[in-house]
Order: sequence, then structure tokens, then C-alpha cells
Amino acid sequence: MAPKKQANIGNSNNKSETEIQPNLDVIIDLLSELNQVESNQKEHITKKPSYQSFNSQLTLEIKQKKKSAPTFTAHEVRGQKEKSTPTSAAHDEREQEPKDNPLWRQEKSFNSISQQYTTNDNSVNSTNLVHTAQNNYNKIQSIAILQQSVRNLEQKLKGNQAQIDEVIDSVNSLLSLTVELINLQPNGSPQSIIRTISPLIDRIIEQRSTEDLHRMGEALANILPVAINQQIETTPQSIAKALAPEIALSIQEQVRLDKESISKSIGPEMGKAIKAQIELEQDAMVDALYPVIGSTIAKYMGEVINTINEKVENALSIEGVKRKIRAKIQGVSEAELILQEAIPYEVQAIFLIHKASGLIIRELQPDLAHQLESDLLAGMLTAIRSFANDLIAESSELDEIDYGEYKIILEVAGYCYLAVVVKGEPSKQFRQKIRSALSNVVLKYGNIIEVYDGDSDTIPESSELFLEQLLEEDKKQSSSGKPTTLIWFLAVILGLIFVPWGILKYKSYVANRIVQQTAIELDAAPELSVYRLTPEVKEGKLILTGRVPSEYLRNKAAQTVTKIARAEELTLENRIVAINVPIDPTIAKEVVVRVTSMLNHQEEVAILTNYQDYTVTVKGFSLARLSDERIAQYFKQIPGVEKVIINLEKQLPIIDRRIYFASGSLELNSADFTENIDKIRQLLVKYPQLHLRIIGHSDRTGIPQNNQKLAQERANKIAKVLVDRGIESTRLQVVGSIEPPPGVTLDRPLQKSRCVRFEFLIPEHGKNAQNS
Amino acid sequence: MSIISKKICLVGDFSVGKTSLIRRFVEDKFSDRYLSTVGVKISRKYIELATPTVNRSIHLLIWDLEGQTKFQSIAANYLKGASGSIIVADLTRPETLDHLQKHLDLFLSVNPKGLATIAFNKSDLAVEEKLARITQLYNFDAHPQVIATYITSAKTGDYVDMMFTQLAENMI
Repeated sequence: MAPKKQANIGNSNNKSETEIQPNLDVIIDLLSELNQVESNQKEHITKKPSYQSFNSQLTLEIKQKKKSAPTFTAHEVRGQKEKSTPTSAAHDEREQEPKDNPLWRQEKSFNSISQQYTTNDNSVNSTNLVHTAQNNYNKIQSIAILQQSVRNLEQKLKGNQAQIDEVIDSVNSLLSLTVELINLQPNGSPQSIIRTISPLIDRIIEQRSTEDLHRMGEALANILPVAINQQIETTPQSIAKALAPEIALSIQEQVRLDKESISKSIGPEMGKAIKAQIELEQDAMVDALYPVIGSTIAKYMGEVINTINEKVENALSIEGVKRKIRAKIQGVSEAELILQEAIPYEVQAIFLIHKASGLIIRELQPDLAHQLESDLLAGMLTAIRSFANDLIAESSELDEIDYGEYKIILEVAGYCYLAVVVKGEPSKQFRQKIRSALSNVVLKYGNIIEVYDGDSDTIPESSELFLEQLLEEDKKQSSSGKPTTLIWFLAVILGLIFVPWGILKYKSYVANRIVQQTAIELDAAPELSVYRLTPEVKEGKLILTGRVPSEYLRNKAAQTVTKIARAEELTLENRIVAINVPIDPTIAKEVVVRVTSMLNHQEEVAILTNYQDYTVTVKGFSLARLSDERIAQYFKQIPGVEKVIINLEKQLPIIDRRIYFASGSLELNSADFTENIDKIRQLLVKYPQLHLRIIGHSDRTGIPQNNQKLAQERANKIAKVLVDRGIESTRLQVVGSIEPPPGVTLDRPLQKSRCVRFEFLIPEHGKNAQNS
Repeated sequence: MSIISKKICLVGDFSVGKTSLIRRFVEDKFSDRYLSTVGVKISRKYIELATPTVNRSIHLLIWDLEGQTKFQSIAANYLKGASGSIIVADLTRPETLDHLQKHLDLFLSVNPKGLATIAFNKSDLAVEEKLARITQLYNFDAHPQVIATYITSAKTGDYVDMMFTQLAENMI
């Protein structure tokens, strides 16, 4: 039956189900028949009480068996199995015994039962017993036969079961077969096939899932990746949509489960991703990183500002002054010196070094004469960097090493760093250049550098271009730019300071000269010299300030200065104030004395003045030159002088008194001598401003030389007498003459000639004032 | 073909003879005076490998690390990027032998792909019969990244060149 079925299935699968169904029906019918038979048997047995115990024992056994051995039920197709179980299980128990002869066992049990009956129930009649036993035996035999048939049935059932299993399997594989079928009949009616199968498919899958989830999973697992792949290819959006909401959640979950794993799997790609993004859209990256980098930039800007400040300060500091002096000494322009100072650095070597191992990736050493030991240098630099990072500051970087006039500038990126050996002081711009060169190298060769293993062939030659650029740019940059700006800046500042200063200096020099000239001129004018007048030159004007007591003097001063103002093309501004102050009489008096003294220095003037109650009284002599009016005017100019009284004489007073001597004698024994002398002394007192000439005479007799001597001695004698009487000798002038005195003619007696006569005279110009 | 550069490190306790081994290899000199290395010292040796398998010039940059003392462990940073290492112990001081494993682990933790050679140094001072026992006790042959173990003497120069050369060969 089985092979046939299989053939059926093989030939047309869609028929198999319908063919199974009748078979099953047959089995079920059979079973129900069996049931019927059994229940009949049971009924039959129950009628005989002697069988009851046996029967119950049997049922008990069956029940127990049912409980303990449901092995049979483990097989599939529940609906039919449930029906068959009670009977099959009941007879199965017997199948555990040797199977060659089922009757033998029945017989054995029968024997034991009969034995039981014989021992336990003595009251039972033996013939009866034998009869019933016989009867029983027949019954049991029929049961045995029944059992046999049941077993056959069961075997059939088993075969069926196996077949059902196969059928189920084939139903499972029905999917693929269906697909095949569809393939075989593409032009037939796939619609109808789909229609027939589609309601079943979900049920089949459901069914299968409930039965064996694991196997179902296994079966589906193989298809899933392909299916997903396919779906991604055809409609990526829908997959994305389906997965999207869960990705974040699943990452979270994974992070919760194993913190490291996510970062480990994403980590290595992060750098590359960022790099790619930078290449793709640098601006976006800059924006994203800006908040982080902001503070770094701020720090950097601070540095730049500091250096600018330094430069500006230096420009006007001792260094700046020193440079000026050097420029003077060397005879070169200051600009040249500044330029020299502004090219203070020279790149000695550039090394691109692998950060972890310290191996050289690329090197450039322009000076062939002094090649540095690049390998060792790079190694040591790397060691120093690590050391500094380890012990000093883990997050910060060593960015410069100084040794004397050399500097090593370090610029560090992810997997490599640049070390630039520089002689002198590099500019900030150069550092910027280093930075951009390194970032170019990292962007372009970062991936290769990351896995660098000491073989420089793995790094493309073109990487050297970036480093060479650094050298070239450096030269270009040093010869232009900053230094000139600095020179211009300095020049402007110096210009702003020195040009106005020079102009001011010159102006004040000119002004000083004018002021001095003016002062001299003002001093030269006698009326003005007594007042303090201050000339000043300012804003194209010659300004006179001071105070004079009268309008006249104010105008006089202006007149005096006009000439100078015109010569220097300045406008005169007369700020002299003429004030009528109540003059201090003592000052006025002093001025009067000065004016008097000044007048007395004039020829033929001998005056005495008295100042009292704003009135000057002038006494004395002014013989011809100066009129009374002139003298009066002089005094009227003096502030505080309101009135001048002139009482001047045009002629000197004449002294008619003569003192006579005896012949050849110097004796003063004339009778009127004392009276005469007194008279003369009084006159001298009366005219203190005048001097007196004393003239001695002799008579004609005798030798003229002796006479001359005698005449002189006579005058001397009288002068002495006057001095003795209190007259200052300086006022006296002594003269001897052998001529007869005026008015004595030859006919007059000789005695008239032997005399001393007197004449007043005005003291000579330049002599000490006699009137003080 | 250009010269390839490789970094190797000498690791071990203080005074096991790391500096002496390097000196013997680089300058072919030896000095009895002990000078403690401070920090790190870097030497360079140019070698040409011409074996049946390898034919290449190589610049060995040998990092001589400050020996480990009780107070200070060697800086792991110095080990970074090394292709190979020589882990050195002093045959006459058992505690230095005990530390071999620790140094090896440190090196491999920093350089997971690095190669290592074990050097039992100062063989000139060691007793012959002890050697066998020691090499048996401290055996690293099973370790996949340990390429060899040598009993060396910087003083006599025994196996020094061979050790460095073989390490270099293996690194390429």
C-alpha cells in the first residue's frame, strides 16, 4: 500500500490528500468496528462475575499502560491518533511480551487465572469451573484473535502513520513543489494555483511553527538574508523605513549589554568617516566642530595679539632706539636693519614622523652640508613627546623645543607629526603654514600613515610636495609682508612726532629772536626803559603787554616797536595798558631824581630838583642848550608829577670878591680876608651844583716862572682854606696865572694884580653828579 | 628598493644588560662599568639581510629603555610602534627571570602584532649545569609570538648578533 501511495504522491501531489482521506476513513471505520466488538466482549465478560476481577485487572493494567507509555502518541496526525489510542494502547501492552505466539501468553494467563480460581474460590464447582474455563478459554482465544487483528491493524496504522509523516513532510515541501508547479505552468492559470494554495500557506506555516519552531526558524534562516538583500535592492526605502525606528533602540540595547563592543566596532571607522566628511564638505565639519575648537582658537588669538603687542612695544623701546643708533653708525638705513631683523629664521630640516614608533616617514633637509641624523632625532623627539605626555600633561602637546638659537617646532596630528628644525625666531605665520601643510598631508595620506611600518616606499612621493611647499613659502614670506608694514608704521609715528615738533622748535626760535630785539628797542627809549614792558610773539602777532602810566607812553612804545613788527611781517597788538594810578610819591620822587641826574649829564646844565606835593621845583642853571620848556617837559612826563616850577638861571653867578696878597708873599693877612672867604663859602653852599675855579695871580715884577709858581701857590692856599672850612676839594679847581686879573690894567697899581679871584663853573659832563 | 626602518625595544629589569647587548651589537664593544640608563636611549644599526628568503637593507632603530625597578615601571608609550622586542633577563638573578612573562605581556599588550625574542643574558657568569634547568623552567617556545630564546653574553658576544639579525629577519 505504501509504495503505491508514494508513487501516487510522486505522480500527482494534489491527489494525495484526497487519496489519504479514504484510507483514513477505512481505518476509522475499522477502529470503530473494533470498538464495537470490544464493547460487546466487555458486556459479555461483565455478565460473568468470575471474569470481573480479571477484566478489571486488565482495565487497570491498560490504564496504567496508558499513563506510563504514551510513546505511541508522540507521533503526528493528532485527529486519527486520538481515535486509535485507546485500543492500540490496550493491545500494545501485550505486544511488549514475546511476539512469536500471542496465544501462548493468553494461555499462560488463562492458566494462572484458572489457578487463581481454583485456589481462591473453593466453593465453585469443579465441573462448572472447567466448563466456564473452557468457555473462558474460547472467549480469550477470540480476544487473542481480536488482538492479532488489532495488531495487524496497528501495524497498518503504523505504516499509515509513517506515510502520514511523509505526507506531512511533503506538505511542508509543498511550497517548493508549488513553486515548481507554477514554473511548469507559467501560462496556465497561476492565479488559480495561487488562489488554491494561498489560503493554506499561512496555515501551513502557522501549523509548522507551533509544531517545531526551531526547525521552522532553521528553514527560514537560510532565506532571510537573501530576502532582505533582495528587498534592499528593490525598495531600499521601505527596508530603511522598517528598520529605522529600531536602530537607535537596538544600539542602545547593545550598549547596555556590552558597552565596549559598539565603540570597538564603530571606533576605527570614526576617524575615516570624519576624514571623508571633511573632504566632502569641509564647511559643515567646521561648523560642527567650531564650539569645541572655539576655545582653542581664542587661546591662539590671544597669543597672536600678544606677539603683535610685543612688536609694537619693541618698535618704540630701547631696541628701537638701539637700531636707530646702529643705523647711524653703520651708515645704512634703519629700514634695512629692520628688514635684517625680520628675516631671523631659516628652516634647517623638516621631518614627518610616525607618532607611535618614531620612525621617519619623510624628511627634507635643504642644507646638504649639515645633515641631521634624522632617524635618531625622530626617535628621541618621539620619546621626549611621550615622556612629556606621560609625566607632565596628558591632554596637551609638546609644541616647541628650544636649544640656543635653534628651535624644533612640533605640530601633531592623529598618527604622525611634523618636526621642523628652525634657526632663529619663526613668525606666527610660519607656524600657520606648518599647520596647514600637516593637515594637507593627513587628509591625503592619513590612511597610509596610520599603518606605516617603516617602509617608506608605501608613502607616495607626492607627499613631499606639501613639505617642500613649506620651504618655498617660507622664503617668499620672509622677504615681503610684515617688515615693510612695520617700517611704514614706524615712519608714520616718527613723522607724526617729529615734524610738528620741529616746526614748533623753529617757530619758537624765531619768536625768541623777535622778542629779544623788541626788548632791546624798548630799553633804548629813555622814557620807556623804566617800565616793565613784555613783548611776545604768538600766532603771527607781536604782542606788547605791560603797564604805563600814560597814553603817551603807550603810543610811544607802539611807535618804537612798529618798525620791528613790519620787518618780521607781524601785526602789532598793543596790549599795554595806560593807567592813571595814584603814583606812589616815593617812586615819583625816585624818577624825578633819575631824570634830574640824566639832565645834569647834559652840557651846561646844572640843576637841582625838589619833588613835593606832585610838584617838581627845578632850580639851577641851564645856560643855553636846554630851554626851560624842554626841562619842564621832561619832568611832566613823570607820573605823579603834575606841576613843574622852573627857576633856572641862564648865567652863572659872578663873584666879585678878591683876596689880595703882599708882594711875593703867600700871607693871608688882609683885613677883609675872613669876610671874603666866608662869603665864598656861603656861595658854594648856596649853589651846591656848581664848582668853583680858584685863579691865582701875581704882579709883573720878577721872573715869570717864579711868578707862575707863586700864583699857583696862592690859589692852592686859598683852596686849602676853603677845604678846611668844609668845602669838598672835588668842587674846587685851582689855576695859576701870571696875567693880570681881568679889569686890572697896566696903569693900575701892582698890588691889584697880586690876588686870587673866583669863578663858578658847571661841572663837566661825565663827572660825578655834584648835586646829590 | 629603499631601506626599511624598524623599531625594536629592549625590555627587562634594571641591570640585566640591555644597554650592553645593544652596545655589543651596534659598536661591538663591552664595558664592565654599570651605567643606569635614564629614560630612553636610541641607537641605530644598519644591517643587510641576505638570506634565501629575505634580501633587504634594514635600519634597526633600537630603543634602550630604562630598566624596570621596584619603584618605576617602564613607560608603555615608549613601546608603541615597535615591530619587535628583546626581553632580557639576567641568568644570575632568578627574579629577573620571573619577570620575563610580565615584560612580554606588556610588550604584546602595546603591540599585539609584535614579535619577541627572549634573551638569557650574562651566560659568561652562569654555571653550565644550571642553564639547562633554567631554559626548561622558563620556556616560551609555545608562545606564538616568541620567535626564539637565546642564551647570550654581551661580554663575549655570544649569540648577540645572531639574535638581533634573526629578529630583524622575522620582522620583514
